[in-house]
Amino acid sequence: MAKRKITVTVDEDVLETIRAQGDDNLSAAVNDALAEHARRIGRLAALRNMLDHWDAEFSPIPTVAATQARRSFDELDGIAEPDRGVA
Amino acid sequence: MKLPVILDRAGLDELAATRPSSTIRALLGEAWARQRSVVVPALVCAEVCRTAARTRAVEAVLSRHDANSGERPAIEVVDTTFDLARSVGAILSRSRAGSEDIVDAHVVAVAARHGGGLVVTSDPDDITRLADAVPAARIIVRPAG
Repeated sequence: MAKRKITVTVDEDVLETIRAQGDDNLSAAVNDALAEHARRIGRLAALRNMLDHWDAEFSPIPTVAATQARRSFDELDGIAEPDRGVA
Repeated sequence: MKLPVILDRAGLDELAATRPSSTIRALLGEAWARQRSVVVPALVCAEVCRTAARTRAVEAVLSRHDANSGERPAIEVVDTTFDLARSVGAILSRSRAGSEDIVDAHVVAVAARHGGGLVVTSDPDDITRLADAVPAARIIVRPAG
């Protein structure tokens, strides 16, 4: 596969940790990280398109459902107490 | 840590439905807003792909993406590797559960490898019971519809 040279800026402590472990192949590490990032944003883009399709096709999401979804993720992230009233 | 959404049978069923529920749409909308992955263990697909029509619906939702604009399928299917199978076995053993819980144990094992996750399921009690076997993982359950 064709390669392209780029300049990137990374945290110094991350770089030192990698070098301390004897891994000098930074290009491969950066390539792997970017490939994973590309996969993640590619999935999120497809998810957004799916959501947009549903929004266009069906009725709007009720406020109560959106609020419960937000609260569920707040609970997942540990920034809200468990909601005993859901599930 | 960005904990993902994990689909159990009810979650995948709802996603592949002709008219997905407001609940699943809202949960996935919030997942997108918080940049979370949405994953489904391959074994869950076995529970849903029981007829030709359901199989086609699942295939459509799992493969839907525009590769030309760099998209990847929105839902990541997690295959059962040997590592995952070992985790599933450990969860079943610690829970004193039998093989009838093997799909739910896959869901919990996939959540545990991420450190937790929001499980969309119709079996909240079963998932919660199995999740007790991995106390370090933050696993919460929500219905699909």
